[in-house]
Formats: sequence, C-alpha cells, structure tokens
Amino acid sequence: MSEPAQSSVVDQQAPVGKRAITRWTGPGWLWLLLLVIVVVATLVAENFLSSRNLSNVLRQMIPLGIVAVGQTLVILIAGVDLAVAATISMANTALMGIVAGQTANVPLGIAVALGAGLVVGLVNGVVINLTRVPALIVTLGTASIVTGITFLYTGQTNFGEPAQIMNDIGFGSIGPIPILFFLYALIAAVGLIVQNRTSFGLHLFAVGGSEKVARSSGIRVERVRLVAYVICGTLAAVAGVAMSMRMGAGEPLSGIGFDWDSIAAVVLGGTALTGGRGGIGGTIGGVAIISILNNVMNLAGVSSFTQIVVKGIIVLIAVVLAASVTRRVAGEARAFVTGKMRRAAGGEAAAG
Amino acid sequence: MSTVSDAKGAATAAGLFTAVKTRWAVFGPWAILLILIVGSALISPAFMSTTNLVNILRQAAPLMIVALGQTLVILVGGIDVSVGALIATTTVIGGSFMRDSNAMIGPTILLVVGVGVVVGLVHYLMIVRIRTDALITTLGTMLILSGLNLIYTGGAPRSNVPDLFRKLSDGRLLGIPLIVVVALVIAGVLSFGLRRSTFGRRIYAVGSNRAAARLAGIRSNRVEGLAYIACSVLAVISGLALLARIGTGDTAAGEGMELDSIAAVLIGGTAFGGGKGRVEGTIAGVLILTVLFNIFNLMGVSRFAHLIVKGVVVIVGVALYSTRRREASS
Repeated sequence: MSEPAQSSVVDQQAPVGKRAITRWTGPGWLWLLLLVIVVVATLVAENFLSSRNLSNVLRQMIPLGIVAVGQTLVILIAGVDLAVAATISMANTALMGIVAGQTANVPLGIAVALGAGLVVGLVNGVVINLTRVPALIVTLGTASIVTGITFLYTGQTNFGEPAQIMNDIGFGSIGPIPILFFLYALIAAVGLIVQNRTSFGLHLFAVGGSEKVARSSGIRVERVRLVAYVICGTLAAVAGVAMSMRMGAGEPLSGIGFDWDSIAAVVLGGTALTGGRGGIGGTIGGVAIISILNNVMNLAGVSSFTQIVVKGIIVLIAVVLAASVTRRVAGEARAFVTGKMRRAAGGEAAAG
Repeated sequence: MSTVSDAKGAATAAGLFTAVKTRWAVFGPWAILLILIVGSALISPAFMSTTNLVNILRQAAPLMIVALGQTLVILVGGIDVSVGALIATTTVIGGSFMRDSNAMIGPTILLVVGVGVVVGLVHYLMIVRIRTDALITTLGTMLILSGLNLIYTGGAPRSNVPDLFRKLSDGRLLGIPLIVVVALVIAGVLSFGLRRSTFGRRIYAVGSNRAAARLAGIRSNRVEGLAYIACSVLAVISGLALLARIGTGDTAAGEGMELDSIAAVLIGGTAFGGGKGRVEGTIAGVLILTVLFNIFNLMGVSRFAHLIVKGVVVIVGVALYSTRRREASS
C-alpha cells in the first residue's frame, strides 16, 4: 500500500521542480535554440559579437520586448491584443505632437501618451467583458479606431518634434548597454515577479486554464481580464514612448507590424494561445531570438523582403514546436491519470 | 380556467418570442442592412441611383467571394488570415503572366488556382494534421506570401492585363457586372451545398464537435482540409475578380481583406469556434460593410473617419450577435 503512494509523490514532484525553474526562464529548448542561433550568427557575420553590434541588438529588443511582456499577460488568459501596433503609433505621435521640441513639455507628453494607451486597454477590457465578443475582433476594432484617430490627429504625415533630452536618453548608453534597455529589463523583471509571486499572476494562469473553474474558485475573472488588457495597452504606449526617444518626428505608422511580431515572440517563447500555459520568461527568449535574427540578416545584407519570408518560416516552425509541446503535455497528463487509476485499482486489489 | 388560459397565453407569447429570436438570428444582419440602406437613401439622394447600386455590388464582389471561403473555415472552427496576402499574390501573378495576351488568360488562371490549392494544402498539413494553431499558422503563410510578392515584384505594380480579362468587371449580364454574377453563383452553390449536401452537414458536425463527428464516422480531417483548400481557392478567385476590377497587380492589393472578411462573417452571425452560421449572413455582412464605405464616400467623410466607424461597426455588429447567443444559451 505505502509503496505506490510514495512513487506517486515522486512522480508529482519531478515535474513540479522543473516547472519551478521554467516559470522564470521559459522552456529549456528555447534557450538552446537561442544559443544555436548565436553560434550560427557568429559564424555567418564576423562582426556579430562586436560590442557595438551587440548594443545594437539590445537596442532593437527594447520596443518589441516591452510590448511582448504585455501581450504575454493577455495571451495567458486566452486573449490577444491586436491593437498594440496602433497604440504604439498613437503614443508616438501624441508624445511628439505635445513636446514639439520643448523639453518642458516632455513630462506632459509622456503622461498623455501613457494615458492614451491605458484608455485603449481599458476599452478593450471593458468591451470584451461586457459583450463576450472574441478578443481578436474587439482589439481589431479598437485598432481600426485608434489608427483612425491617429490619422485624423496627424493628417497622416510626420508630426511633431522631439526635445533634445529625449534623443539624449534614446541614443545614450551606460557602457555598451543602451539606457532604455534598463527600462525593458525592469519591466520584464517586474512582470516575472508579478506573474510568479503575486495572486494576480496566479489568477492569470487560472483564468487562462479554465475560466469556469477560475470563476467557481472565487476569482473575479472580469477584473483579472480588465487589468491584463489595461497593462497590455499601457505597455504598448511605453514601447511607443521608448521608440520616440530615437526618432526625429512622430510617424503615424511607426507601430506597424508590432501586433503580429509581439504575438510571434510570445508564441515562440512557448506560451499557448489557448491560455494558461507559458509566461514572460519564454517571451524574453522569443524577443531575443527575433531581434538577433533580424540583426544577423541585416548584417548579412539580406533584403528586407526576404526577411519577411524568413519571419514567416520562423512563425511556422514555432507553431509546429508549440503543437508538439501541447501534444506532449497532453500525453503526460493522460499517462499521469491512467497511472494513478492503475495504482488506485492495484491498491484496491491489495486491500481487498 | 383563467389560469390555464393565462398559462397558455404566456406559453404562446414565449413561443412567439423564441420564434422572433430564432428568426432574428437569420434576418438580423439583413435587418441591419435594410436600416443602413434606408438611412443612406435618406442622407444622400445619389445613393439609390442605379449606377451607384451597381457600383456597390461591383465593389462588394471580391470581398464577398473571399468572405464565403472564410465562412467555411470559421464554420469548421478555424480562421484564415492569409487570404489578403494570397489575393495580392494572385493579382501580382495575374498582372505579370497574362502579358496583355488573351491566350495567356486560361493558363494564368490555372496557375493561380494551383497556387491557391498549394497554400490550402499547406494549411491542411499544418493545422489539421499537425494540429498547429490556425491563427498563427495562417499568419506565417501570410508573411511568407507577402515577402515573396515583394521579392518577385520589387514593390512595383504589374499591369499587363488584357482587356478581355477586364471584361469580367466591365461586362454585364442582364445589367449586372460579371464578377457580381460569379460571386452570386458561388454563394448560391455554397448556400445550397451547406444546407442540402452531406458535405455541408459534415462541416457543421465537425465544427460543433469534432470528436463526436469522428465517432459518427465522419473523416473530420478531410472535411477540415477541404474547408481550408476551398478558402484558399476562393481567395484566389477573389484576387482574380479584384484584378479584373482594378487592372493592376499590386503587392498592396487585398490589404485588409483578411480582417474585413472575418468581420463580415462574424457580423453575418457565424460563430467564432465553429458549427453555427450561414452563408446568407456572410453576404449580408459583406453588403453592410460595403454600403457603409459607399455612403461615407458619397458624403465625403474623410477616410480616416472611415477607420473609426469601421472599428465601431465591427465591434457592435459582432456584439449584437454575441449577446443574442448568450441569451439563447441561458
């Protein structure tokens, strides 16, 4: 009797211990893939490892990374946010338009830009909660609305002017590390802690795993969802502000592509689109892989058109990997349940 | 005695209410379209002119064809965001390969339909066989197709389209542009097929419960695969219709059609997740979107404001349906 009970404890502990690490780092194969890509990059492009290029890579990660952290939270609850690209453009043009070259206007500009992102997230969350329309459609609708507002505001031309201090921050670095990279690192670290060490983080996984079970466990599903979308919208605006620091003017299409890129980074990082599995740790790896690949292709002189094709192939590879991981997890769960049933049957037989 | 008749009355009232609600699921999108048309006619006298109405139909035809394919994929529980890029591919190949020669029209059409079948087969292999996520998989093929379009054209438009091919858009049958006739024929075939054929019943069965459908002896993989292939081929036909209308192969052609087609399907009452919906609703959804754009153009509303209203319409249109579904289920 006692022997099977013991073994089941061991069975349960092994994956839990592994999960305790991957909760922070994402799946191991992801970092192995990253390592392979770095090695190949070094071989393909000799100046890949130069400190100047590496700081370039870090710089490219900043806006995508910040958006992708927010996107991760939304995807964890089985949602998605297609409005992030439009929000980035809006934050970018709002900031530039308000600053108009004056340093004194920078705080107000940043506040308005972030506020706008927060409002977009709020609208997304409220509408999804109230109407039960799929998140894909709601955020698609708000993306259209936000783009329209941005175009009306800017007349679809480059708009506004940054203050000197913004470019000082955007182009400045501490040693080889760009100043704004610390902002991304901070956001990622806080995100990881929130995800793994707070009840909100736990609720994200619960809602994504099964909304029904989460609700009957007393989790306020609507509130969790609202907060996730608000964070995602706000982080998109933060990314827009961070991007503005390196630009000479506000561009009404500056955020284009960040919607699908951020989703690709999250999925590449092993977060399931069906929700409840994955996390920010994997997203950090996914962002790194996408940024490094872009960088290497630029170094190797690959045309921007070919880069789009390569990005598509990476997305397909990632989705196949994700499917096989899903299958393996399902298989493990089935093996676990049948094993438990067999043990229970064996125990009963022994008792009888 | 009175209580019995009261109960009877209440039952009839409830029955009537249910009846209206069920009918509403069918006629709701058409009711919205009717309101929109009446409103448009009141706002702009030019709206009801024959030229304008024919124009609306001509504009609606490509979106209608692709939205019909999207309906099939959404009915089996999937989604296809690659259709916009595939439409661009079609116009690019069509605009290059026809070389202003009538003799090349047939082979070019065969070629692009072949491309559509290949794209559909890739989706089948990945989404149905490997069970990858449909949204991300079709996103991947979308990226690959748009990249290939850009590499092939270098970003420059191709316009070697013979006049005979453009007759598809200019030519009339009983006063109706040929591409509209094509779109309506496809819609008719699909509508009839979904209602009356075994394949149609299988699509609904697989979409509402794949496991149950399989237990009932339906080869669900084959049904899903055919839906994806049909969607890609219809996207190609939509691209050909678009090419006939604009006469230029362009990498930006079809931009936004993936999202417009999904919006039209959902506004038309087909459920995300599969198993529920109809082709007629999609047609209404397409017409709602097209009439809306048309009346904006007539009123001279800035196309930036278009975007805002389109976003609102998509959300509200789908929300009307979603709350309906929630009432029905509770």
